[in-house]
Amino acid sequence: MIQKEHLIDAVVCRENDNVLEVSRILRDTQRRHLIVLDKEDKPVGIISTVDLNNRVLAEEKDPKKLKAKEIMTKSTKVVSIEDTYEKAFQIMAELGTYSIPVVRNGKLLGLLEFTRAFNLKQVGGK
Amino acid sequence: MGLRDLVHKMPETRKELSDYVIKNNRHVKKLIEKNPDYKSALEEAVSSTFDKYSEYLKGWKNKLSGAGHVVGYTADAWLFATGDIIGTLGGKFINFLAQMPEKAYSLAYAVRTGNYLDAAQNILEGALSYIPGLTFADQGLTRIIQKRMASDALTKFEKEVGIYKSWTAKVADTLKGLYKGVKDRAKNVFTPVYEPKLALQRA
Repeated sequence: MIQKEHLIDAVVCRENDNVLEVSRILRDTQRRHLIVLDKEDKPVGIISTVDLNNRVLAEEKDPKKLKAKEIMTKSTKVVSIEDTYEKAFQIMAELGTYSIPVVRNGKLLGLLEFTRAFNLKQVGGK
Repeated sequence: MGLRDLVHKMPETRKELSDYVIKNNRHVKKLIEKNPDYKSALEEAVSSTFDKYSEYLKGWKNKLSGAGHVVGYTADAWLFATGDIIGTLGGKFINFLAQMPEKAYSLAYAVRTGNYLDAAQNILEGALSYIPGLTFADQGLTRIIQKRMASDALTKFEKEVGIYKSWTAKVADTLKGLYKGVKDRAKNVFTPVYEPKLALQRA
């Protein structure tokens, strides 16, 4: 089972936030991606700085008029706090990502990093 | 008290911890000079922090580690003086054995307090210090905990007097003036709240 103390802060936005706000959240937190949440704090997508470039700037779209849900990558993979580090590691390895959102009853708790999942998997998940 | 304390003394008592926080944080000193009531807020923060960590500063493991460091430093000096790598590694091995109980104890400390990074730092520094000439790389668990105490006491004090800044506020401060519409984005951060079970049982 994944321990809460092994998670790190997750930067988030709401699905109805406009893209200008999303880009400013990324700037103000110095992160490269954020998790998009619905009204119930459930992760519904992910937006990276590359998405902002490819789906907004390069397409000449207006960031004030676009909403986060219109440019996010949908169906974000998540793991439950009750899952194992092994499972989290395998999902990240398959997706080629460096972190994965961890949820309890579908609600976001934080992020688990790839290296931490790998290390904890090696020592039996404790 | 370790050899490093001869150069930079770390706090071992409540009074020393309080003085250390004031000495190393100018803004705390200024606040207390302006308003002496803040001194009691600092004393409270120091006291609760010291109560939490003081038990991990005692014990034979820490003393054995300190003695091991003396052997390690001697081995390093022997290497620099004679170039005898075999003799040095012998001394370093004694140091290595002397560090084992303390490194194992650092895991128990981490589980009870939630400070996993402290334990990881202690173990990594210990591994690095086994390289001839690098005994100084291992500051020991005691010193890591003393630094943690100073940092925790400062955080508690800052929260108490309302000047604590989260990482989001600090990032925003550095960006203000550079870009338009910079804000503290604390509301956009989900922080996993962790209370160590063992620490709660002890309280």
